[in-house]
Amino acid sequence: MILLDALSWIGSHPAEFAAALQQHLLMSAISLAIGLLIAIPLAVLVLPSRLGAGLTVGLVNAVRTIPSLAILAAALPILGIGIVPSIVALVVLAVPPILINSLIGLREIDPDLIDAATGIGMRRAQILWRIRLPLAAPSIFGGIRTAAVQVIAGATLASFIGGGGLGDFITAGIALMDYSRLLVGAVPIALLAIGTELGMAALERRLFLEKTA
Amino acid sequence: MIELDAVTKTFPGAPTASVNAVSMVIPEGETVALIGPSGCGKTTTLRMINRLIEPTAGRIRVAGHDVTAGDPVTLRRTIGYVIQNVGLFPHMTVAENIAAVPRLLGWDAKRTDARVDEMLHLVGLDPAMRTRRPAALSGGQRQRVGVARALAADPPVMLMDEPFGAIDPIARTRLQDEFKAILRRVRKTVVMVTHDMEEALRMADRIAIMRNGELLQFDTPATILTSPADPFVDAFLGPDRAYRRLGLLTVDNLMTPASGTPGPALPSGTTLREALSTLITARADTARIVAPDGTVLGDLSRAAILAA
Amino acid sequence: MRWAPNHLPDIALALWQHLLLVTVSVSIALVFALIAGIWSAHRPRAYAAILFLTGILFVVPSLAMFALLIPILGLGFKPAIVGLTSYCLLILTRNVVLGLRAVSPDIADAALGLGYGPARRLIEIELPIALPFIVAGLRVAIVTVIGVATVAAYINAGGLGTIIFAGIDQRYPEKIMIGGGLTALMAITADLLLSRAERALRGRTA
Repeated sequence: MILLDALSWIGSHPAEFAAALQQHLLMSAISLAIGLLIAIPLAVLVLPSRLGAGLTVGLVNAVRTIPSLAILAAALPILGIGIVPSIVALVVLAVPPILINSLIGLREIDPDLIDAATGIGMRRAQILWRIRLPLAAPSIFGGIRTAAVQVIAGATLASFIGGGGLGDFITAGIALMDYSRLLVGAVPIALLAIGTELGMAALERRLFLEKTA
Repeated sequence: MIELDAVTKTFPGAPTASVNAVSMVIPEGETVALIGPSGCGKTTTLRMINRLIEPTAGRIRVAGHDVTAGDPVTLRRTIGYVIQNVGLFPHMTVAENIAAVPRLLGWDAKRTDARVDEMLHLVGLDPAMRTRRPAALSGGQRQRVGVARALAADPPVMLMDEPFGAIDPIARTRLQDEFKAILRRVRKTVVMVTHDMEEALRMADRIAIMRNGELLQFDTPATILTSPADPFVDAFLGPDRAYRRLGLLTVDNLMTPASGTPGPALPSGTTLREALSTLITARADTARIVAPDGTVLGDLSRAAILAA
Repeated sequence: MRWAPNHLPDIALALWQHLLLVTVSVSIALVFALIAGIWSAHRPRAYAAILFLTGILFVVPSLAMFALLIPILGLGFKPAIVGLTSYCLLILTRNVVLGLRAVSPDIADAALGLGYGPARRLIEIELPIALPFIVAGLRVAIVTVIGVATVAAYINAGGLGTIIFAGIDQRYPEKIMIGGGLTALMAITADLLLSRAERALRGRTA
């Protein structure tokens, strides 16, 4: 049946499959990393200013209402097709959840703790690195988790703007009406997404649950 | 009117019974307080009467009918139920809360409406309260609505589980007196769980003292105070039980004919406890008991009080 | 803005199809969520299992989910609906359970003691109290499905995604903006309306 056909296709086209898988993972990882590097410093930056934070959150929420497909499509006229516009679009998808969760995590810190730290003579930078970020870490990680799932889903759609990845097999399958080709793309993507979610959940438990125990 | 016949409850996995073969007969129209230390089984016993907990053994009869058989849901609609935190439905108005059981019983709108007004009046709430929501009420007001809700379908029996536990102590006494008056007016058979001896003495016609699932004594307050059944009951009543007992009797019980001896005036109906307190403060030996219009009804001596 | 004013009927059709996709899928998901939620609200192990299963359905990317359904359901409306429905099961079920669990034990005890049978208690007491939570879940579900439904155009289910895909194929930026913009507008409107509803409901039961 079609699942077996799909497996046999992979078996007879290992290089093509591996290339698509690699592209998918590469896109996702790079976008997530860049997203992290933008979102967390940005959160730290706007934290002290109520206005700045409010505007940033408002902007981010507005961006969130735009469907991922449209964000990928919007990169097209500006950056053309290929992996670069895909990564740019995926970064736009990754930043909102990380940014918002970081802001919430940094905000929710007990002001008494900050007060005590300032009182014993810590500088702002030290307070940031030694107190704020560590305490906000669980929340930030939650944001990264959400972003990871978003990014893998977005990478699937990158196929539409020539970004490659496992989504190519799905689009090819629909174009050729070849069900087994569909599964060559769909099943690995599903497994990748589920694996990432479970893996991050396990990582979260290991990193954070033990600390509070 | 309510008959508990060797009622027992053993929870699954528990080594001993929570309620062990408790038997008592509660006469119609009386208020009985179930009291005892934590874990004595008083709440379990109460909740078996309306079958929120099913008895493991024994029978419970209300007005002659065995309630341990049959549908518990229909049974509960004939028994009023008031709990400590009231449990008013937050999404309903005061009127809708009170109308809950009548609606379950299928009363028509007009009859229900009239009844809601009647109940609001009975518990001393302004009719304008009808449209308020529980969140906008004070603790005392909520408890009143709770009682109104329990009485709305005019059940012959009322069960109350620590009804005033969540009320602040100052409002509590006033509410207790008011409710005692309300219950007198509606003449229900009431079973009330409490851990407060004062409350039991104040509100109950009969008190049932429980411990470790056993019923130790079931008597009128006066009898319990004068003749505790065993050392535990004695200790439970506390060292000031004699003093408490004085709170149950009034000056009218003990007064002697007026002899013209001067002394502080006490209105008829004052408790012996208050009378003693007045005599001590006034450093007097005798008091004069007076009627509302001022006529002297009799004398009461300190010695007589102490010998009571 | 050259294309849009001349093709309003096409845009209207896409809008209508999109609305259909969203309302049908969320409604079906809500029915499932209510059944699953009511059943598992007080059964922790069952709830954990349901969370796990609906979680997996949520995590699988939409295009892949549609692709998995095509061999069984073909192209068009049906696989889109099934895919979109499975996508919002997690959030809806979770909020139904949250709402039911928000009924305090005292209220449940009072309802039982007054003589409410299990069915009437659920319908007249528990679900009304759970309603603000359910609406909160609906809000998130609807807003997300509005976005995800754009992909369904690729499997011939119609909707605003058709405009976006046309924009990609034809290198026509205006279409991308119209498609994306209208979707965003729909999402913002739904979010506003439902957050109002949620606030009104919370005020009632607070």
